[in-house]
Amino acid sequence: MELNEFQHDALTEIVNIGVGQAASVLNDMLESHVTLRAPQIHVYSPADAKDGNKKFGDEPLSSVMMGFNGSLAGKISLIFPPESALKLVLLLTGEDQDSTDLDSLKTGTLNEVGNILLNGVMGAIANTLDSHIDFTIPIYTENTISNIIIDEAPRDGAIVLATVMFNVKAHKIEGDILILFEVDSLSSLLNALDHSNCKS
Amino acid sequence: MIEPTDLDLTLLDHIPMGFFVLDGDMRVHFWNKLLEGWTNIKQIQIVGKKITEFYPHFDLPKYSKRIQSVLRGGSPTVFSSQLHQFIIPIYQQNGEKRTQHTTVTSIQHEYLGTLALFAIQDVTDLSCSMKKYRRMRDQALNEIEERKKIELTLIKEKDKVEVFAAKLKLLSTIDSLTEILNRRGFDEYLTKEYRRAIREKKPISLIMIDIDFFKKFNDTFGHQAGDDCLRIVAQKLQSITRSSGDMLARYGGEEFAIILPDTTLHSAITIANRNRISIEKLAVKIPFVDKIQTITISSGVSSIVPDGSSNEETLIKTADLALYQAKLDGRNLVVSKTVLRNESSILQ
Repeated sequence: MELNEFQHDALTEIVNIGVGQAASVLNDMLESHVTLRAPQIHVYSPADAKDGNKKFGDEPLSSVMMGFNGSLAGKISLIFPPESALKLVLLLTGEDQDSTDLDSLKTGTLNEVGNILLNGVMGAIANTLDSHIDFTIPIYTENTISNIIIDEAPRDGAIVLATVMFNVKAHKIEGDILILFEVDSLSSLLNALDHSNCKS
Repeated sequence: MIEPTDLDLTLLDHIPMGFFVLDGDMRVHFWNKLLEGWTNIKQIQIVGKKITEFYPHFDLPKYSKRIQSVLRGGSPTVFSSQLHQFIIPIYQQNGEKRTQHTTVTSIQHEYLGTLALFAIQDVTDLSCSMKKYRRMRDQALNEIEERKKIELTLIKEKDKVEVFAAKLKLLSTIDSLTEILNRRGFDEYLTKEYRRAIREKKPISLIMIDIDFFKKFNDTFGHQAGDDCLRIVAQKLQSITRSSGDMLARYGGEEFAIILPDTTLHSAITIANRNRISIEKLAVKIPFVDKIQTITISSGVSSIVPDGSSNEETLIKTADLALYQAKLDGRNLVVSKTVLRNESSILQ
């Protein structure tokens, strides 16, 4: 699916509003100050999803995934390579590398941090639409990108990939937000964006 | 006042999780049976009241912002046990708070609008068993570490003991007065070299040496002078003994011996004579008495190309016999006997 320049910019803007809200929530909650930025987004068709393997490889990735349904339908997930995930958790929680509780700390913390980030983005998306969206409860998994896309991507939908830069204590950590839109959902969103543009 | 019946969620009384519902004003609309048990607050007491009257921390931005987002119809919010130990403080018997994993989702109500449903999963036992498991693992790892340390100490101690044992063994074969091999060291070395001579079919020679008139020397000048004399003779002989494997030893009393591996009788006789002359030239200074005393030695030389039918005892006995002969023949002499032919010759 081709986006025009305006649509691309508007979608980038929405994702950035979302991660900005997420950063504000994280900063209320955590000791460490966090800034979040999503400088670039890319749109793929599921057929192009093979390109995902180029970026992510075959390593298992930590991911938090949440489904949504209503005027828009699909799934949204935040994914990290395991090492970045662990580093982020350590920076956010102030735990040290030798903590014996890393696995459960990682699972719980990423589940919540991912949830906050996805909520920020979905909140920003939902705000551009007037209708109600239902959500499933977020789940944490560790899986390869091909499994995430093959298992979860709707065949005729669209994939939006936004790389998120976490800046914590002068460390930069990169994660990716992957939105898998069902058929026509992205078009609905883009229509709403065009419409809101006309309104303003 | 809103009656609990306004919202029929009684089904949630049958699920082993804590459930409560808040409206847009943060007022409680439902408080399930499990929560009643955990908190000792009855649904009737809390319904219609703001949650912050009971739990003021719900006003903190880290909770209120996210709850408000759900109350606007936003996506579900997770309060993990790792980042928030609890959402509702519930105490255990031991005074510690229970660990909770909470999910907040929005539900639409016909009359009440958007509500937030809190589902609290008690993960205390799970966290406890994980902590217990980690403690056990840490303990096991510590024990392994301790064991390694002890093993390392043992290895170090063993090394020390071995070095000490080697020192002791060396000391046990050294004569403390003259610092050359003692009788035991002599026996060991001769046995070793004799076996080698058998293996390599090479000659081995032995020179037995006795200081002439040593008893008289001792009686005249005292034991101190006698010890000095033994030391001086040992030092001299040591200094002219070949380093190629020849070995000087104190055989006992004033008797010395030189083991000469791979040496013919002829060579041994030459060496014995050179030694005799060296000692003769030696002037022993007697302590406390302004006197220089000359001393002489008598030597018996034996040699053999051993074939396994004889042993080192024969070599010693033959050299002893030759030495006895040298004494009889007037001292300051070298007498040799070959073991095989059992013949003797007197050389001066």
